[in-house]
Amino acid sequence: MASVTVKFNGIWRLYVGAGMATLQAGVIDEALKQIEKEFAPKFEKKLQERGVKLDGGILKHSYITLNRKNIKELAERTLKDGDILDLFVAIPGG
Amino acid sequence: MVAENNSRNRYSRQTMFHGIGEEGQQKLTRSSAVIIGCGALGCNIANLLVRAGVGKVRIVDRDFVEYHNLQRQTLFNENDVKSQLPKAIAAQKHLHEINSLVEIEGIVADVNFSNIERFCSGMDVILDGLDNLETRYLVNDVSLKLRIPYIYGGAISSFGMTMTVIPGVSPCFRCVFPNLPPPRTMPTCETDGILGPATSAVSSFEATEGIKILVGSGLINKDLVTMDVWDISFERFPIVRKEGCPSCGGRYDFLEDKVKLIKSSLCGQSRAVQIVDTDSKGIALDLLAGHLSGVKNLTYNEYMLRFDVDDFGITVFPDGRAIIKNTLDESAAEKLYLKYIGKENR
Repeated sequence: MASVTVKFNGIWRLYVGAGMATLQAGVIDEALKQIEKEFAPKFEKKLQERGVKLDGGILKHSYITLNRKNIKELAERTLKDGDILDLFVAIPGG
Repeated sequence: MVAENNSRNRYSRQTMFHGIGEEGQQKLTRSSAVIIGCGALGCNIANLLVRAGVGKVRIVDRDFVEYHNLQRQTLFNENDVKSQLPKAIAAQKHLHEINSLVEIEGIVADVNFSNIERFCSGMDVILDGLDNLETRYLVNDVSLKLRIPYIYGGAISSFGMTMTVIPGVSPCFRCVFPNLPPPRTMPTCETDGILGPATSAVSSFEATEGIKILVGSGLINKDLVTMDVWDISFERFPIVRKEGCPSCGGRYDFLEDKVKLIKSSLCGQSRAVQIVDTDSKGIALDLLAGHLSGVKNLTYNEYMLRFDVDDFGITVFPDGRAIIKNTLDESAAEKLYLKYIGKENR
């Protein structure tokens, strides 16, 4: 198990009510599952306040990097202490 | 003695900059840019490109100027609101006063699959001044299809984000964000607010990228750039092309999404639905005004016609488009459209 920092960037910060979180996980997919489990309900609740129903979806709409590299490009999925996962969603306004 | 209004004098401080020079300035003068959307991002991009001397600047926007725009949409003023001017027309007017050497074309239209290729064809770069994600996927498709560079920019709250799409070379918008979020799941400037400096920061990066592309600079942004002007943070994240990306593979889903009536809830409008009739041959607003009965507060000019009916405010444009305010119910809005603007009333 590694101690990993999760950074919620931009809109995610508004939606999950936190800019940063720490979790314990051995591999990337395990960390992602924890993120969806812990933070998707906050996203859903925020949407419900606006009259919109949605089940989950943090990961589906996120561009995710591990130590600034797209996780889809990474062959090595094992995490180590101090790793940083960044989550982004496209910013729609302007 | 007043100095002359010629290119050499006007752009002298810019040509001294090592990245542009005399040669770069000539390239700018011969080049063209289309700005899709003229809200806060579009205003600043247009302002910067016109002042920089880009030869032709086209601005496409569907909306009109309102008081709540003035906090951040830097091209507009109170007279534009009082005159009920569409943003594209107001922008064209003010930009011409800023630099009469530039050809400026303001187009009042909703950008959709039926017209976007016409707006972008022949232009050298596409800049993002939009306020919604749906149209950005459409712009991404047209950028790839026509092989015109596209600079994405978005802003909300104090956050900003930008990336540059060079067709066939860099990742596209859909490579990075493959899934369009469901309607109303993303925040808008209505729901979460927007800080003027956030839009200024993002649009300044967009305009700089546009200028770099037009002068042929090799220093094009390859990253996803994010910023928070409140926290004063700025970060870059490398992005890569997504294997199997439909748009990069030549499947332009958003460009091919052909529906007759396009309805959408608007970001910049409080509780409003827009209806676009893509088959419309246009509406003579003066004739429509003569046919309308049982409505209140009817006014019109050459750009738009407005009236109230029950609790709804309806604005109609010459291209057949309408914005129905004070509702998010799309079927109710469509009924109002058919009742008051339907073909028998034109």
